Parts: sequence; structure tokens; C-alpha cells
Amino acid sequence: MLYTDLIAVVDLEEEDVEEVDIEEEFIEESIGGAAANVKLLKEYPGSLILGTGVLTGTLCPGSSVGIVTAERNGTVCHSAFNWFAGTELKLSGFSFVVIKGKASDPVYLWLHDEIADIEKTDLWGKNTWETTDILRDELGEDRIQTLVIGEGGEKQSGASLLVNNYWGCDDRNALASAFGERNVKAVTMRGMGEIEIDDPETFTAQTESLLGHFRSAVKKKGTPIEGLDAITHRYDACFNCPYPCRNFVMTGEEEGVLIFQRHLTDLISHGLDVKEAVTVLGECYRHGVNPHYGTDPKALVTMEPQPVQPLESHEAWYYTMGICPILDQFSVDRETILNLINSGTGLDLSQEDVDAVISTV
Amino acid sequence: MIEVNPDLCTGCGACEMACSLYREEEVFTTMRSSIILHREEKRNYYGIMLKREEDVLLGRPEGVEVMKEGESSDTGGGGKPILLREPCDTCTNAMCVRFCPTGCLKEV
Amino acid sequence: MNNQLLKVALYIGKGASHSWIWFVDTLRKAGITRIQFITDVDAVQADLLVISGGDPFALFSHITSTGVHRIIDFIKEGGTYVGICAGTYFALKFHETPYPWLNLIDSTIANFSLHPPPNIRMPHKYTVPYREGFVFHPVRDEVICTYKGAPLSAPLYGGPGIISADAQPLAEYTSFAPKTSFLCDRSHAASVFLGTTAVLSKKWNRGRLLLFGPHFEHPYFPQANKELISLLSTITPRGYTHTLPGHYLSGTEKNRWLKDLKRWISNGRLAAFGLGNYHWKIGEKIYDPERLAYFFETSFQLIKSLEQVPTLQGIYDLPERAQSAARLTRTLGPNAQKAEMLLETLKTITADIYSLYFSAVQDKKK
Repeated sequence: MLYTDLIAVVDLEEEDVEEVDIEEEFIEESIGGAAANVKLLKEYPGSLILGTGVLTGTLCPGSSVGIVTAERNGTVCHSAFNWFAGTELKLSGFSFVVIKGKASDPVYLWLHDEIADIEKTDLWGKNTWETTDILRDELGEDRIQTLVIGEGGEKQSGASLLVNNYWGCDDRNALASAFGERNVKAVTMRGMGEIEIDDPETFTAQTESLLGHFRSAVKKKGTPIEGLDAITHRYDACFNCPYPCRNFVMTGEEEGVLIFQRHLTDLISHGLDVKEAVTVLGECYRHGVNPHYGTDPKALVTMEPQPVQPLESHEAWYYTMGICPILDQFSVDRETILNLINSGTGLDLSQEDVDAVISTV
Repeated sequence: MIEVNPDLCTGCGACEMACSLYREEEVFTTMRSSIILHREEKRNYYGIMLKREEDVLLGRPEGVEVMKEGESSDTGGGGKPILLREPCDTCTNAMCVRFCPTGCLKEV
Repeated sequence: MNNQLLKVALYIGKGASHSWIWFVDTLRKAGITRIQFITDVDAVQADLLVISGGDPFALFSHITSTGVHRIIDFIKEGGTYVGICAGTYFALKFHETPYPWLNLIDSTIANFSLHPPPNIRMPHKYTVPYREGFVFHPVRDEVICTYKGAPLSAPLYGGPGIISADAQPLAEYTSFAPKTSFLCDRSHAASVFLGTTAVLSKKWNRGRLLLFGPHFEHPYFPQANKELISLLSTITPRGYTHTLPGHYLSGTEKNRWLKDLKRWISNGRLAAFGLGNYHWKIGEKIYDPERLAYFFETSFQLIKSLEQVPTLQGIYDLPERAQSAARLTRTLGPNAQKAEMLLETLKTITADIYSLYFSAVQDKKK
């Protein structure tokens, strides 16, 4: 099926979690990721949805993506998280999470091995780095993935940014504020779950062939920003990604910043040089604010709501599949991906079926 | 036998998933692999630990070293319960090598 | 089958490591589920008393001479003592002035020496001081025995090679396997071990001792498991009653209770898998995070298999104990005392979860 079995429906007001089985029909009708989130949002209006793509967490190259979806001013908005949180969400046993209502006091969600716990927390007010450190220490595992909000999300800033562990997500629509308005400081996940594959042999052969394509096509590493390579410590890749686009730049002896291209580009466009931009970016991530809107993280924590940023044309497809759209530059063949989905899920979807689903995003 | 070139590792973790699939055959998981990616995120320190029959091969920024059972390593990536995993059985046409996108892992 | 009526007392207290889990699983697959997990040796009301792998020094420290006498009484009354690895050393008298263990079978063992051969690998697994000398372990992992005239593979993790004993030999070590690990030079290992006895049987008073050097119960050696069960099937059940611990749970109460247990075992498991590179010396053995993770992992898999079962018999405070164990695991560091406390807790938790599992199996049979 390419999913782990459950949808967690978290009722923050009742402090209760309902576990809903993922039915084959659900996947057939919405495939996954952004499209599935939209379907869940219709079923649970007013909720905040976290979802994984159909291919997230598999051996399909670039399958790191998870999606956050919520409504803002009547418009459905999506933000994406990659790195390792998408995979870990699926492996926690919950391929989708619906967050309803508002907690009376700050909480974090702890998703692990098909258990969704709502835990009261005194982490409100702490920056994202402190929050992740404390949660990992408290829960006893460094590989726990966190989606956390900083001051930006707590204050429901129009410039808030969701942070995965220590690094900003592609949260163009300030959905960190959606966490903040629900009193959710973080969602943490870790699991030893199993993602079933309908036809493992075919799926493996197809993904290997696809990886072969990327090995030939990907001839670069890092993000193409002038001056960045010179200060790069290492080039990192998100889960199972053949393109290591995440430059890591040291800003201190024991720490640095994992660059997300869009964020650094934004800061440079505000007039900072690349080194200054990296330093400011680190601060933005700590505060949980989006540098698209300025260079002073402290000012960005209280910003009015900004216009909704719709997905770019190709992103709806990638965000449904669970593949990082950065790979689009390397000519991803959609027919190949369709075959992968069918061999992985056991469904018999056509391109028309996929197009129809994508149009709902 | 698997050789590791830590300079080429990008920390993507495909090897863990691939090896687990080899062990489990029908599911994706990360808990059955003979190979573990160790990471300390804030300082971007990461490396690979490969459990073998008699030792653990560590491929880290410092280089490649072999850790015998019962030994500690002086820096990161030492002995997390990789020991619970089955040792690498040097499967021909190794999955970890096939799915490593950078050529960091090689079969020799 | 007759053997399903056997009642087994399995020692899991201080001195027992984790290999008893293999023994339970081997019995479970054979339909032998009347297992009482004991942490002390009191008056044993069972057909078999099993002491498996671990540390015989720590075992004696805990059960003391009082426990030793109770084991002797048990055998006198017709019971069968099954010793595996440490449990075998415990029963053999292989030194002129032995420690005051069971010492029921006069023997000499090949792997006791004042000057063991030079060690080439795994120094922490090679020797254990015993009186003026050392018990040393020339090999580990798979070895090949001859049992009933045919080759049989089983793993060795510190068990003895017996040269002579006032008992009936059932199997002898005859060769090494490709996967055998040598802790000393191969030729020394061969001269020490090959041709020595691996499994012994002795009638003693009205009872019997069955002593194994290698682990016939290891999960990767199904043929050895089969032979073990075959041997145990020669024991006649004596009609002991067996009561599972705990209270009847069903419906919503059962689901909530089991979920709570699963929650904390999951938390403990994740924390154990995330533990750093520690080694703790507990008694004469070195433990590492793997041992702790093993108990959590075993428990977790058992719980998962119980989720669809309608009724269970469980000990009410099991989730709370799992919570304490998980919290302790999260804060565990290099402190050996804390690690030992956690180890003992995890053994009883895992045993209670096995009992929970057996309650479901029994219910199914009704």
C-alpha cells in the first residue's frame, strides 16, 4: 500500500486521539500528500493536516516530502517539509495526522509506533533549537524528528516558519501560525514502522532504474548561490535524495546552518552578502520566521498576515507523490512514477486518474 | 565486502532503507539494516556504521576505522544498538551499494 | 502432545542474561506454554527447572546456598534440572575446591586453565577468573556437534567443553563451522574443544540433570531446537497446576490497558535504540545497550500480536512498570547500578508480557 496503516485524528479539546485505518479507496481517490490532505480537510474542516506523499519514505529517489495543509482566510494552503521528517512521520505509524480544535494549554504531539500522545509542555517561549534539544533529550532519542514553531509561530506572525529540528521548512504560507493558534508547540515523530510494498521486486527494479537516471543527470551538488560553495562545510541530502542541495555552513565551532535555497536567496535579495545571510538565516530558524519578509528575525515575529502563496505549477504533483520538486530540473518522467505507484500500491491508476486527483490540490 | 568512502556520503540514509528491504523483502523500514547512519545535526557530523561478523566498520569524517565488539569509539558514531542488527552478509549485488546515490559504498 | 502438559520453572532473576527468551520461544513454538518465570529459587513446583545463560557468580550471590539446597531438593523429588551455558557450569563440579554452587556432577572441563592460550580477539569475552585460574572460551558462535550420530549445529557463547563427567554424554563437539569465531588460535581451540562433551544427562536421586554447553534453543538453529524439544519430551509431566498471574481484561478496558503498555514499551524501545556507546559491568559480565533493547523489542513484538485478541490476563501495574523502565532508559548513562536495576526490571516485565501472551494462547485453545 506504500503507507503505514493509520490516520491519527487528534482532538486537542477533548485530549483524545482516534485512529482511523487508511482504506485502499482513500489512496485510490486521493493518492497522497497534498491531494490527500485536501480530502481530509473536507472531511475535517478547520483542521490542520500533516500528510505524507504516496512515495514518501520509500526507495524512490527524492521521496522525503511531507505536507502541512490548512485553510487561511478561506484558501487552502500547503507547506512542505522534507529532510527526514516526512519519512519519520510515515514510519511512526501515522501516514496522516488531522489536528482538530485547540489545546487549552501548550502541548506537543508525540507520534511513535502507532501511538499518538498529546503531551502538555512548558516549552512555549523557547526557540526552535532549544525545543528540539529538550524534546530529544526528554524522549531519549537523537533521531526523533520534530516539526517545531518558534516565537514566530507562537505569536501567529504572518512571517512564521515551521522548522524541522533546527532547519526551516518550505513553509511559504506561515502554517507555523496554524500550529501556534492551536497551542501546538511541536509535533515529534519516531517509529520503527513498516511500509508495505505490493510488488517489491518490480518496485525495487523500477526505483533502481530511476536512480540510474538521476546518477547520470545530477552532476552538481549544493545550491547555486554565488560565494556559497567557498564557505560550505559539507553538502547534505534529504532522505534518499540523489541531489545533495543542502549546503551546510559552519557558523561556530560546534554548530552551523543547513541552507534551504529559497531562504538564503531571499536574504541575499534583501542586500546581505552570503556570509551575513547565513548567520541571519540561523537566527531566523531559531525564531521560526521566514526571511522572505525581512532580515531582522526579531521584527519578523510580529507581522501581519501575508498574501497566500500558491503552489507553483509543478509542485502540486510532487507534493502529492512525496517527491522533492527540486528534482524537476532533472527531467522526472511521470510515467515512470505512475508505474512506481501502481507496483507499490497494487492499484491500477492511469495518468488521467492522477491528473484528476492533482487538479483537486 | 563493502568499502566505505565517507567523503562521498551525503547522509541521505538510502543505504539503511535498502538494506532493511533486503532483510525484510516486502516492507520499507529502517530497523533491520546492517548499516546505520549516525548523525549529529547541529554540527553536521555524520557517518556510517556497518555491522560485520566480527566488528563494526566506521566511515566518518575522520576516516575509516574498524571497531571491535566491546570497544568504544572516541568520537561519535560508536556503539548504538547496531549490535542488535544482523551482521552484513556481504550479499552479492549489495542493495546498499545499488541504492547509494553517490558511490560512497562500493562492493569489493 | 504430552509435552504440552509439562510445567517449566524458568529462572530469570539476577545472574540470568537474555538467552532465556530464546528458550521460551522454542518452547512456545512446540506448544509448551505452562511456564512460570521465577526470580528466586523457592520450593519449585514444576517438572523442569531451567537455568540458562548468564553469570553463575551473580546467580549464586542471589540465590545463595539456600537456593542451591532447594534445587537439590527439587531434583531429589524427581524434578529435571536443565542447565544451559552458565546453568551448566553451575551444576558441574570441575574444580577441587569449587565455589559452593550446585556441583552435582563430578567433571573436568577442557576450558579451565591457569594459563589459557593467548587471546586474539574479543578480550572481554575470553576469560573469567575462577579460583586460581581462568575459565576461558576459545570459540564463540556456531559449532558442530555430533548428536545421535549425526552432525548438529548450535551456537556456543561461553559454555564448557567437558572432558569427563560422571554422567552420560549426549553430544560432543566435533568440528567448527565457517561462522565459528576464534578467540584464540584455531589450533589451540581445536585441541581444547574438539572431542569434548557438549551435552550431558545424569540421573540423580529421583530426578535428572540435562546440561547443555551450546544453546540448542537459539532461534537461528531450528534443528537444534527440535532436538531440544525432543529431549524435553522424554520428561513425564507430573500434573502440576499452572496459574497465570494477573487479572482478566476484556473489551475497552483491555484495549486501553494494552495501549498504555504498548505506549511505554515503545518509548523504552526507542530510547534503548538511541542509547549511546556505554558498557556496564554487571557481575562478571559486560552489558551494552543492545541487551536492554532486546527486552524492549521482544516485549513490543509480543504486544503487537495481542492487539486483536479479545481477552487477556494481565498484571494491572504492568503499564506503570513499563513507564518506569522507559523513563529510566531515557536517563540512563554510564552508571552500572542503574543499568543493573533496569536490566532486572526489564526481565520481569518481559516475562510478565510473555505470561500475558500465553493467557491469550490458552484462551484460544478453550
